[in-house]
Amino acid sequence: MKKAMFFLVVFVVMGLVAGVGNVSAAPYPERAIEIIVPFGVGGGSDTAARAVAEGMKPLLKVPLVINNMSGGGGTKGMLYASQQPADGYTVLAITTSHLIDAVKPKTRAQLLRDFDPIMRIQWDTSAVTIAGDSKFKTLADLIEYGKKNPKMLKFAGTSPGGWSEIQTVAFFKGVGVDATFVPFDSGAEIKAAILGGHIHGAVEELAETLPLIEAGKLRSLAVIMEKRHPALPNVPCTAELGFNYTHGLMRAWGVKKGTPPDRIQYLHDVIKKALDVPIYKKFVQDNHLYARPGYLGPEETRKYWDDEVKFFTETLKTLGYVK
Amino acid sequence: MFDHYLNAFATVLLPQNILAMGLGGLWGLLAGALPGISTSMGIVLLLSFTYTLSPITAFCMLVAAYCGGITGGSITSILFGIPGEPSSVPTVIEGHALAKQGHAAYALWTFLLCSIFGGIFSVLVMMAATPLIANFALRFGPPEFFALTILGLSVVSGLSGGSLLKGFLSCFFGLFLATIGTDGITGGERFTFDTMVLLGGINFVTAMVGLLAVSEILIEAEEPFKEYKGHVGYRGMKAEMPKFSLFKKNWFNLIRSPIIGTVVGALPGAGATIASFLAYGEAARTSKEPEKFGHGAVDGLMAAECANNASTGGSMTILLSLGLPGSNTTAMMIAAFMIHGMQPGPLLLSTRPEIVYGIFVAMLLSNLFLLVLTIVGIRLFLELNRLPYSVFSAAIIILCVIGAFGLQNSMDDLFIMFAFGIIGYVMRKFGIPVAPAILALVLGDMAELALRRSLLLSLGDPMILISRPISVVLLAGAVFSIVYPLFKKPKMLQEL
Amino acid sequence: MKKGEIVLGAFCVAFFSFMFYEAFKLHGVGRFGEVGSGFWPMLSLVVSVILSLSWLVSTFVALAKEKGKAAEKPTPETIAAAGSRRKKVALSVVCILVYIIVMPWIGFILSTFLFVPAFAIALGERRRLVLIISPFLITAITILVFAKFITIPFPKGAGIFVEFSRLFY
Repeated sequence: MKKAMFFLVVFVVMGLVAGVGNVSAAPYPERAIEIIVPFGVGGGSDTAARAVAEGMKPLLKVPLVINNMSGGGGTKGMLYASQQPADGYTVLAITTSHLIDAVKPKTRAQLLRDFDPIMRIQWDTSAVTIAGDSKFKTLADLIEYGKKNPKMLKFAGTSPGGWSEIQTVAFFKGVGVDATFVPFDSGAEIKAAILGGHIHGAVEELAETLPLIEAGKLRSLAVIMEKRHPALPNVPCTAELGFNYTHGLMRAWGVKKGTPPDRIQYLHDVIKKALDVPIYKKFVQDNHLYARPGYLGPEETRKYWDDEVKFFTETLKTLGYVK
Repeated sequence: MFDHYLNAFATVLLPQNILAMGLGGLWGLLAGALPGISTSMGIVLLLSFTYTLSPITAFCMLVAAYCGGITGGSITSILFGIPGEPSSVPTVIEGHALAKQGHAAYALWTFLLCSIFGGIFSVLVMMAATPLIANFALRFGPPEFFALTILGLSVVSGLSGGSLLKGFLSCFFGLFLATIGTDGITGGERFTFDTMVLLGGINFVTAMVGLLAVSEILIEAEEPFKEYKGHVGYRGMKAEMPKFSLFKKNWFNLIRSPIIGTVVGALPGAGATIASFLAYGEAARTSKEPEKFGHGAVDGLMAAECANNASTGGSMTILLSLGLPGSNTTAMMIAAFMIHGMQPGPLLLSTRPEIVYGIFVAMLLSNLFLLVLTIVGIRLFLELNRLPYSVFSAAIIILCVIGAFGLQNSMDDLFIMFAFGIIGYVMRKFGIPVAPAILALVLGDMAELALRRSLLLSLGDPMILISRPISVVLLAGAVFSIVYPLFKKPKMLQEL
Repeated sequence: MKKGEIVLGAFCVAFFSFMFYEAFKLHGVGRFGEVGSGFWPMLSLVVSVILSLSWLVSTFVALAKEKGKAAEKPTPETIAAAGSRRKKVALSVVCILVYIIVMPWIGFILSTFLFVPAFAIALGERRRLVLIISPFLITAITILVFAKFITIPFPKGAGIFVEFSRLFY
């Protein structure tokens, strides 16, 4: 008897579950939109995507599902997204690492060929950061030491052959220093290594290091931008120090090539609106992303991508990763 | 300082905060116990509920969920043999062995009391010595990390069971497996054979689930058909209550393991896994009954659980004092701080002392809450042994599949899990222990990268590895723990 | 069993040697100062080859020692028991493999529903009530907890199976 009752309950529950998803031909979007975040839960890309999605939710009638598909430095998720139908129900969260991958693709998917941008959402700022008690007082000190002692200047980063190494090495090449790049697994390990005096410093996104900079444990020598950063008004920017180097980490969203333009337009409009929602504005504030405008329309984003890929191709060539 | 604690207790004991801790602890236990959802993911899902709460209530909830997640993972490990995180491998080995002998309730009691003890111990250490631990952790550069991982690997002789030869074979197989995928120093590919599947390397959770849980089901499939799972029949919670003499006998173990856990837990990137293996290995080396290890050694289970939970305190220490996350889960906590308009870092203690002390107190109290919650939860879980044996096995395979899939939402991981299930089955059939392979898979990658980072720092001079005090001590410990069993148990040499 | 050990030992030697050959190609790849991409794999593989070789040799030695003693003749019963044991393991392996192969095609819900009774039969379950109830029960609980409650994006299948899966999650 007990078993029969349980049976009944199970069927009723399954019936209820089934009743939720009704099939009808409604205009786009009629079912959940899936956002592929090709990195793990809790990483920079993931929190950024979740902040945007949080802002989009009230504007959409359909659910938004965030699907974290990490692996292969973001390429596994990109490959998956490129294999889904081009119907606007699968959106890929794109970062600079996909632009670098486009130079020499690890998989059958290539960003410029297989995806259309919806928009660029964020444009982050990096800074040259060293320990608070370091013997280098200014960027000039650091460069002078580096020029006198080739390879002795050791800077940490996260992704060998990826964005972190490119921005570190491109910066030091630009100022004529031959520095050693030491790859670590995470930002936390890098900061611990700088604090412990095991390494000279790192070229890293500013927001993550700001609390330690404010406490005086770390010090920033320069921000990589065309103007000074509002959060660090006393730190010079690369442009005023005379280097023409202002690249930063980019985050954008895109869909598979061939998606109907009206659907791309629809997504673009919704995301654009979501960027003005308080919850997202707070995210921008917390992560100090306000220093320069992140938003770029679809056309400008494509042009920006093309330019960045050209720059990365050159840098990777000088590093010897591509011939 | 005393005032701060008094205030913190007064705040945390408000009814809404106690409710938050209860709910958070329950959710954490659930997230830890269910495969396919890790503790860190559990925290992320909880975050969106904390937006509207006051900061201290939010942290009561999150801290309880964090401690609960670490605790909950062990329930699944003991009862089903499915490890949720690499740190629970020793628990699977010893605890699940005990459960198979019919002493599931005994293993659960021991794990519960030890993990709560370890958790509370580490919170007390953390309250007393936050700056001390943080400064000590910062002295760990790549050479010290290398020495630490080698010390962790030296435990292998304790994990080998009968034959040292087979134990080391398993260990070096694991070291090789750890090199598959993208090289962390050059970014190049190794042993991927131009496939996508292996590009990210072998995820150790996937491999562990295959090696331990799937192979176990295959081994059991050989045995004659049983109608119900608990063929010996688990005895009830009351009958299996561990005696006080057990803890008295293991007093040194109970002090050593949480200290290992707290200190190693504070190292960014090392965390609970090395902590639990180190404590487990130490227990194996000093045990009076080393032959029991691998077949349900209570002292091994105690050591691993103490260290595992003690790592929460260490991890929170480095987060609160420097803003550095020691583990994935504490990285999620940073998001929680930001939601409530704070930045964890050296300034937090002076700008928002009520939050920091509140977190200390909340951690202390949530450990006590978890004791009650888990006892209730365990009763529910023990009911599962009434399931028919065949259905139970099918359900475990499904849980393994969900666990492996949920990690990266990728089908590739299922095939890797399946392959490791077969490998684990063959290894067990031929008496090759699987634990050393898992240990080496987890630590091998860290050891290699730490070695190569050290050499990058010294521009190729290997002296960096033995010219620093901490690394010398750790390496000497590693040599001792490899050589010592050879003298202690000359019988094992003959097996070579 | 000794025969099996020799086969496995020989396989290990061959496998690790092949991988060593692959690792050798990595020799010389690396950054300035460090030991390079190939050092660690080559080290672990060389030791693995040596260990598996010595295992193989010691098995041979043990086998030679045992030659003198009269080996126990296996009775037909033990052979039959071993056969049925092997069959059960092979069947369960096939079940798991088919389960994960078909999952992307027919979706998580349907494959799980079919896997439960198939695996139970492979293990020797014959009670009809158990075989009928369990698939419904386990599938319902799994979908509710993992697909609905904690929203793991399980594969939905291809073609009409997508529509079927969307009815539930």
